[in-house]
Amino acid sequence: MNALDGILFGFSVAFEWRNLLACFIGVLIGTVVGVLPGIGPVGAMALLLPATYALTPAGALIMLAGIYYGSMYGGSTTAILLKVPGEVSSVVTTLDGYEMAQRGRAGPALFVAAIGSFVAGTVGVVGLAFIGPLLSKVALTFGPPEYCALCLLGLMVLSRLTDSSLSRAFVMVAAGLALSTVGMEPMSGTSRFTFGFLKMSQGIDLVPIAMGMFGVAELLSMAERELKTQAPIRVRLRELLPTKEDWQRSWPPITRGSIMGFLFGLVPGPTAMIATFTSYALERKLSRHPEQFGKGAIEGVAGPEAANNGAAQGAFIPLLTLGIPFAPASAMLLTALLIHGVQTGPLMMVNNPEVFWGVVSSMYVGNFMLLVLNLPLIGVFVSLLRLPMYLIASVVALLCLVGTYAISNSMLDIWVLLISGVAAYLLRKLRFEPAILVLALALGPILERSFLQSLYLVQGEWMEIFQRPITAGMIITGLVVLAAPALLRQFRGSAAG
Amino acid sequence: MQFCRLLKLVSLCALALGFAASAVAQSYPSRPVTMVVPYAPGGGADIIARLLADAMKPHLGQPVIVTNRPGGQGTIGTADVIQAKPDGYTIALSAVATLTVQPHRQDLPYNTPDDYEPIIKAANLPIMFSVHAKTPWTTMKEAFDFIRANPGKIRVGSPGNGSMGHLTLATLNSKAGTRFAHVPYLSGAESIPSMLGGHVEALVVHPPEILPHTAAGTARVLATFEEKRNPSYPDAPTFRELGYDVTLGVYYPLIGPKGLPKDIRDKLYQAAKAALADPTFSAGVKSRGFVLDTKEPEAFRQELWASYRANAEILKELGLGKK
Amino acid sequence: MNSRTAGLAAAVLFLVIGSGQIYMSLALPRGTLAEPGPGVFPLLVGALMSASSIACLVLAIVERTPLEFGLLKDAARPAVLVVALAAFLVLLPRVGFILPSLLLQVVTLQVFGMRGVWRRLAVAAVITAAAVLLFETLLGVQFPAPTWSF
Repeated sequence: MNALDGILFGFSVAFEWRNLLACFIGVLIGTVVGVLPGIGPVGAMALLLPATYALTPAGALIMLAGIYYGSMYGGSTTAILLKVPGEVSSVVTTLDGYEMAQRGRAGPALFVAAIGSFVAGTVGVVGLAFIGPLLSKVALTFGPPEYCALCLLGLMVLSRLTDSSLSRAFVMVAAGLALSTVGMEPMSGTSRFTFGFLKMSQGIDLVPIAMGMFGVAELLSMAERELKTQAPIRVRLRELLPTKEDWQRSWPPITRGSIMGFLFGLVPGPTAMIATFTSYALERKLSRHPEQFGKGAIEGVAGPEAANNGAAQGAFIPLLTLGIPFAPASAMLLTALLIHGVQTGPLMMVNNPEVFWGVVSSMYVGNFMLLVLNLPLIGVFVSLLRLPMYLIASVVALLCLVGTYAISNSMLDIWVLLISGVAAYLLRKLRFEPAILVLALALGPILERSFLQSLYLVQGEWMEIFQRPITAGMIITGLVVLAAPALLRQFRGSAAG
Repeated sequence: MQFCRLLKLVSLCALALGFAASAVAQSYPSRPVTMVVPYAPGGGADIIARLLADAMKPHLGQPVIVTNRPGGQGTIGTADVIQAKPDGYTIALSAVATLTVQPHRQDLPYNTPDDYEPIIKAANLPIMFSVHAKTPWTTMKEAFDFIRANPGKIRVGSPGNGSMGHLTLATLNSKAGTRFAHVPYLSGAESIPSMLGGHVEALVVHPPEILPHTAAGTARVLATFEEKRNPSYPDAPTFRELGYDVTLGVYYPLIGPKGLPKDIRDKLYQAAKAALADPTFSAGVKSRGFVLDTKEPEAFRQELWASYRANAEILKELGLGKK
Repeated sequence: MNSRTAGLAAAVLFLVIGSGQIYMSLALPRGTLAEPGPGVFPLLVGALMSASSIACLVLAIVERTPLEFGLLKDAARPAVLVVALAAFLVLLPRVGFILPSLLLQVVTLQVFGMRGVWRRLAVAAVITAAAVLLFETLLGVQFPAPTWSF
């Protein structure tokens, strides 16, 4: 079956009324889960998995997949409005999205985020259908050494994320990595740095740190500012839509972000997150107004949001074509397939074409539903900002606390939330960027695991790691990223002199 | 006739006892039961837990909700359940290595099989030796010949340090005098793509994970660590047939916290037993490579003790125990 | 504390953390290069932390640009907020969700300038009720059962 026949066949599956309903329920739940911080898509999928037993395998997967990519849409909402990123992939969106909201431009930020997500989703689906099966093997070329190099590249890009000095950035990178080593070492199961707390052997969960370092820290900064300047942000209705200039500035980042996100998504692992901050760093580099980044540049919202959704769609390729899950969310989908008796793996496309093509086509339908669902909601969300400051602040405080507690009913998590909030409040004042710490913390476990596995793999001959073409390429790219500003200065200096 | 009367009497007594027992435990279960899977979704334990939870529901009269709490080779979620309130609403579907290998490797809130209440043995899962289809070895003998000539040149991925797969490989190395290099992954699911991409040459792996790839012709199973040949791979000999007495496998215990009342444990046992006997359930799990092997709680505790002692020996011999 | 001292103090603090991690990692098994142990990665991270904090230290001495706003310029309100949040955390496992939530709301509303005790109390009650409805009833979050013990 070629791709066009496949997609048409897929639409005939996706438009069956029960599957259409399953898709709608999926994206609706996904939107809600995405908007509420703390409760992630994986938890929601696990909760709803038994409810899909009554559906066909295709229907079940359509609904669960809807929850997953639906939550990617909603994830940016609280990040933009309240500076509370519900998941790692929306950490980058807080950098400029929240700043835009502070300047009364929450409407355009949310609008561009939604459009960016839709475009990336569409690019992703088309890519999935036409070149997905061809590209499925790409995922397999990534062994532990390649992951290790990818994480190192990620850290080098990360250290150039904002304009804080390189040494401060690396302190934050190291701090994030150090926090990631708390708890059980993945390979041997040895407990480290737990200071006698049994709960700490689980490691430090990312979401409490992210919500603390952004949500709680911002609350403290708001409390510090003069109250007189805390008048509610004025939002006029005609400012809800992006201006012509906004569009012109958003299209290129959305296009680049979509393609980059999709390509990153093919390579499994922590790629959605790496895609977001790489897109941010790239747009900052390409922009004619790099000084606006961090102060409400619309490109800083458009690019990363598109990249995030593109990666979410790309991640379906290894799952659907090889039966291999690389992220908790796709592992959940794999479980659903197995429970419904679908033999996953390379033969699924042949044996269960209704599942493969049905899901691919339903993702297109679902993306459209999400756009229709989300655009009218923007007005509602933005009008929330017109509430008095004290109301917003107390709701944010409670949302951070309860949202964090809800992840795993853990008191330790909310203590982590508070401590990291205070820490980030102080770090900000000292010009350390907490976003770098949070993202490094997210990369840490994968870096450590792939680093140790690589050493096992090459039997201690560590030079071999760098002799593999992909790893060498990535490390060199990373070094160029690190050295670029210094080299440019040198170049300009000698040109001037 | 005397015998008939005796039979009636006995059955009457049994009935009365049954009533009494059910009166005591009548309140249980009055709300859904949580089944913790201390591993990530998509692996063997997760699949059997979800199938079992669904099949137990009609027999228990309450839904069984599966939650994944992965980390630390399963010890974190398992320890959580063992320390939970023994009211029967929190149970775990753990695995043999988590319960009988990890306590020998580190200090945990639990140690021996007396520290928790075994409910039922859910299933066995065999371990097999598989290679990438592009490797030159078509029989285990060829692989042995190669590794003897080139020690360390076949890298074998396992589901993790201290997993049964790791122990199996290490035992094979020690009994056959070979040096297969060991590369630990976090789970079986994580090791598969690494072999398919050619980063390791071979895997010690479970059937549900490798079946799709042998079916697609991208991997081969050379031999199995079972007592008998596996019905899915009739051409793959056992290691015992090859002359190396290495017979190890994985099994999945359903356990409850220490101090779980007997009547509640028996209710869970009966529900799980009925679920395991359900023909659709058993057909489903068998097609995925599991081997059903139901054991009642106390006999099962003995089997866990046997594994606990045997694994202590293996770890000591291999130098993998507590430092 | 002026901003330069603050920068120096932060760099020294990070240096202490970095060397602390190096020290603690040395106690962990490091294995061999072919079979690395759990101490290897933390050791490298500790080294990175120490090296970059030394660079920060140099920077703090050399750098002339002051930090954007003085450390703890107006610390009273944030401090009250932190205490209220901490009180919420201490009380939650002991007396359940409702009381700590009311308390936190009342304090937060005051910190952010809402006037009138009764109005604050009323708004706090509404927000708490909404949180219970949303999280406990609809999303099934189980708040800790009160133990009433300290």
